[in-house]
Amino acid sequence: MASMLDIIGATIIAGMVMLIIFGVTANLNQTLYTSTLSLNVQTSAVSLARTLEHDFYKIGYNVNKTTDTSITYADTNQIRFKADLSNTGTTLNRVVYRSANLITSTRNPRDRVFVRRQDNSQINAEIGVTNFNLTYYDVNGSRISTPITHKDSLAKIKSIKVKLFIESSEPVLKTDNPQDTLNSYIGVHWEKLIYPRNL
Amino acid sequence: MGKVTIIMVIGLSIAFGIISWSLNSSSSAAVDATTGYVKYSTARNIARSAINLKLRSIDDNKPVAQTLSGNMMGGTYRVDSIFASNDSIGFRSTATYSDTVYRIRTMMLRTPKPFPNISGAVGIRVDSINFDMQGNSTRIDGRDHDINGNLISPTVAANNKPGVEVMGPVDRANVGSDSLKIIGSPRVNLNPNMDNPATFVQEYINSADVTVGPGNYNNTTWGSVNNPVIVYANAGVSGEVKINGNLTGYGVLVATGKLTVTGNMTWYGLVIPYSTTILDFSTLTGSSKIVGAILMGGANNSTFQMKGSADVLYSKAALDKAKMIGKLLYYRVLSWYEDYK
Repeated sequence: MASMLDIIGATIIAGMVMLIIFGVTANLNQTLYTSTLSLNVQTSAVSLARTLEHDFYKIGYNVNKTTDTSITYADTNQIRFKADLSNTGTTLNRVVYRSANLITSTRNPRDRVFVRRQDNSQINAEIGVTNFNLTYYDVNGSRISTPITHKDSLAKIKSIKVKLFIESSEPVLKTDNPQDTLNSYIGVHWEKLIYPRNL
Repeated sequence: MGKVTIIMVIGLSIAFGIISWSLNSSSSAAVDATTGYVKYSTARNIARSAINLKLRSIDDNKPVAQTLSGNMMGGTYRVDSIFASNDSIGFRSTATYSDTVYRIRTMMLRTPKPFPNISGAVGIRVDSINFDMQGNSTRIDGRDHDINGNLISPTVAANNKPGVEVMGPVDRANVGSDSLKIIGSPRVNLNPNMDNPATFVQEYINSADVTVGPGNYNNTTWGSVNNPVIVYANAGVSGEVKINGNLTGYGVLVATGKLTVTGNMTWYGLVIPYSTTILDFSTLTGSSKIVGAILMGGANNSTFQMKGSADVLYSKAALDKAKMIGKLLYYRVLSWYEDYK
């Protein structure tokens, strides 16, 4: 009888230990998953910010202002400009930044394709950009209403505020909300007012 | 049973170790991504600030071509001059922060701030001026001279100015009594619209490189041909700034109150005797020479007196140099290129 009690007791304790181990493992996996998504989002945000800064600070470089226009189109989700990105002194690059269609292959309902086109080379980045917003200001810091298409208005642009929101492609919190609320995703917000010195 | 337990413990340890390592790795990678951006941003800020420091050093009369380097914000910077002309300059700024190097290459247009329009060798914006040229050797010459005071030959008529300009006909008649010692076309000109030195004086005083009070000054050189300066001679209400020996200056000389020259002063640029009260500007003895121009402003009955063998020689070249005093310039970016590695 005593040995029976020992066996039952040991089984119960072993079961509890196993449950604890499974729980810890599950939590660790969840943390690892969240951490990985966070890393991806942060890395994407930093890379994109550096690329944007690299290009935006060169807007208008080596553009002849008397015969040409540095920015050719400006809207809240798109900008087209010219710059000698490689400092060749002879070749002007035509660059486009814009956010395009929603990505359907991820569970995030808001992420969009982020497009960077330089001359004939286009990159469609699916890195979780959910908001790419541009605001344009003149020399007095007054906002210029968009879209800006006329060359006189385009020539007034002296600074650009860039807002960028990047989210993870998959949710990190398991909610019952079928709409996948904002809280379900890890996000990074980056915002900067850029003064391209060549404008 | 014992072996199974040991195997399970080792297995669990390895599993937890792998999970822990993965967590630490992703955490480190996230930190690296963030610090990489911080390094890049800091290097960029250093490179930009270094250009501001370079412009500031030009304000302080350091040579444009001189390389500027130092430490800032935990990194290092170096600014090299890559181009310099009268109206534009170019720099290459290189900043290093940790393992990130950031470079900026820029060209800037430099423009003098508003400078008095000089339309005569001597402009007198004073009513009822006590104008007196004594001595047979005194001379005011409105013809254009080079930066050393040599008459440009052959002379270009369009560059020559009147000898003396005054505000009203009474003063023109008064100054005209010394017209034989004045050269220009005409010798004495009526110009009621001449620039008022009051518009410019306060900025010059605020930006002065050298300020001197009442006293005697000699054996001194202020500025140089390539680094003209602003000198403010403040004699006060009843004092006197007296130059009684050899003195050479380049740039703009602003004198408020009594300025007397009894020695051999040579000034290349613009001399502005200015006061809201009666002003005495006198060259008494010696061989003083002003290559550039004089623009005088003061209360009625101020005095302009030349004795000895004093010369005022109009020089566009000397005035153009005076305009380019570092503190009187502002800059506009012509091109700006940034890159990093």
